[in-house]
Amino acid sequence: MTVKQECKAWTLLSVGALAIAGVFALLLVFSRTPVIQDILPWPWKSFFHKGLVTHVVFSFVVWFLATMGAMWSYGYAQRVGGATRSQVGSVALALVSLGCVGLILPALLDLGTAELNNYIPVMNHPVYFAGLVCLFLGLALVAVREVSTMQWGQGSTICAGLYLIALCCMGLAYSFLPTDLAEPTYNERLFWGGGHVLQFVNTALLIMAWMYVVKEGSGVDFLSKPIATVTFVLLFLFALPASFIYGLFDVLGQAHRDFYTNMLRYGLPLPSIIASIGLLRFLLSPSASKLDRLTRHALWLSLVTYNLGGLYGLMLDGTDTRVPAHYHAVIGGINLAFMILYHRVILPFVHVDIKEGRIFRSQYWFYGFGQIMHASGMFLAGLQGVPRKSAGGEQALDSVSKILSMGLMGLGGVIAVIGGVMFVVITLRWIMKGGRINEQA
Amino acid sequence: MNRREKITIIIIAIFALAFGYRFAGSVNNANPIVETIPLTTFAEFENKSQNQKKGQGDLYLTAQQWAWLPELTIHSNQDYTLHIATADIQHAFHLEADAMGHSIDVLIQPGREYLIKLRNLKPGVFAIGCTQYCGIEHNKMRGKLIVE
Ligand SMILES: [Cu+2]
Repeated sequence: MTVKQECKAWTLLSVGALAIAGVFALLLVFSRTPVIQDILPWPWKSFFHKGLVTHVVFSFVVWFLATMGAMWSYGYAQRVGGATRSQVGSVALALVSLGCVGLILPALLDLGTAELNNYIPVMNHPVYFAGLVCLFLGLALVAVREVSTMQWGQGSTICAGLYLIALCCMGLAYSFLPTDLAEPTYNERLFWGGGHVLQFVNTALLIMAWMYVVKEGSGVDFLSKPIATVTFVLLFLFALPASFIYGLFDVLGQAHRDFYTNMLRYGLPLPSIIASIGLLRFLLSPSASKLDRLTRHALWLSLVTYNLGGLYGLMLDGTDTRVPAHYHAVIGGINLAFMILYHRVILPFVHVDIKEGRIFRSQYWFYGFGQIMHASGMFLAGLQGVPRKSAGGEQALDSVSKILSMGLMGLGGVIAVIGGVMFVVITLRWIMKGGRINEQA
Repeated sequence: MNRREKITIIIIAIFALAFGYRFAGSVNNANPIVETIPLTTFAEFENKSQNQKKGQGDLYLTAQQWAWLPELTIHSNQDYTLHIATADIQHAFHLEADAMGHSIDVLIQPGREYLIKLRNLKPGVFAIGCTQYCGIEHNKMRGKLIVE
């Protein structure tokens, strides 16, 4: 398989993962709809949480990791040429595809129990864990290929290094955790350190996506080479201690737990701010006019949504809906960057033709504004917290503003889902029309 | 590298050092706001909690899947020692910042009793939450502290 074919296969896998996530979201709705509930053959009571796990793992974990595969193979092709053959690529793709089957089966066959722990939600069943291992291992192969070509300071190399640190953390957690632990605690701690490091990976992917899109559309490096290197190296330095912590503190203790929270709190803002300022300066500069309108708008939407999420992150406290508000906006910003990356960089690279119309352009606005409304509604609802003790009139006013923020959150969610569904349907159709993977390149 | 890039990198380095310094300072093994006592069984904690007379400065709170029990009502002009233990697996006690001016977050592990000082409480109803994933209904593990 050539590197270009590999890139196309990753594209199909990543957008396909979103389609699978969408199907499961639909099944979730069915499982709660009275009449349909009785027609379909599943044991619905246990399906709801299992379906939710599958939905989250495909819409967040598999989508991000397969996009990472697409970006690495795109970057690799820039260095060695798209027609170069890569054995590693086909083995990795086979592993990841196999992994996806393992992640789907437990929900459909009602195997094990669902666990909605942070970062990597889990089904307590060997088939699911085997699926996860295949998925992670597949990308580890590509990561090793990336690191071994060793372009020190380049975003994709550092991103691959970060990914390997994340896997290392998961492996260490596995070896340190007692096996007789209760399942919720076990799963949460198994992915706690690695999951946090994966957020460094996601940040690196966001910055890379912005850089690829701007470079492709305008020929400009919005971060000069030394500044880009410093930005990625900073990400790496803050994540570097992550795996050593397993040897220092009890894997079940508070120090271990808080270390990773603080790693995100102190490690992610600076690289994010440098990249955001760089992109902002570019978008305000005359060279931005070299980009087409849609690309410019998509980058603005991504920049605003991501930084809004960062802002919400600075103001969260504890357990209310300000926490999901923060990560919905951050993920929304990253997703917008991935959308335009596929449409402007990856799909043209793998010779998939794009037809643009008003519907195509509107998906960005639906998704972007939907996510901003959804996250902001959640943030406002969280801010109001527990109803304060107050007189009747004030109490009523309190609940009115609460209903308004819940409404904003609900409406925004629906609009964002419309945008997301448009992206998946439109993009997947193009990829399918673009011919078989083997015909290309 | 031109001059402007050099200056930018120096500025970034200063910020990076500041963030790194605060990060390093945040790493500590002992949580200063909490004392712990080993428990052999959870029943030990239950006994203490039941023998507790009302109005005294000691409060007992049980963490379990998926609730905080009982609901506590206390007075703003008094200091308390809050005793917490888990009846099953790991949880984490979180009290929102408005109650004492800063939030409290303590991991509650099985086999230990945690003692937390409550001081300078403001009147109001404050959210108690669990910040350690503890099972499928973890999000429903909410309680409140009522200060009169
Ligand atoms: Cu809990």
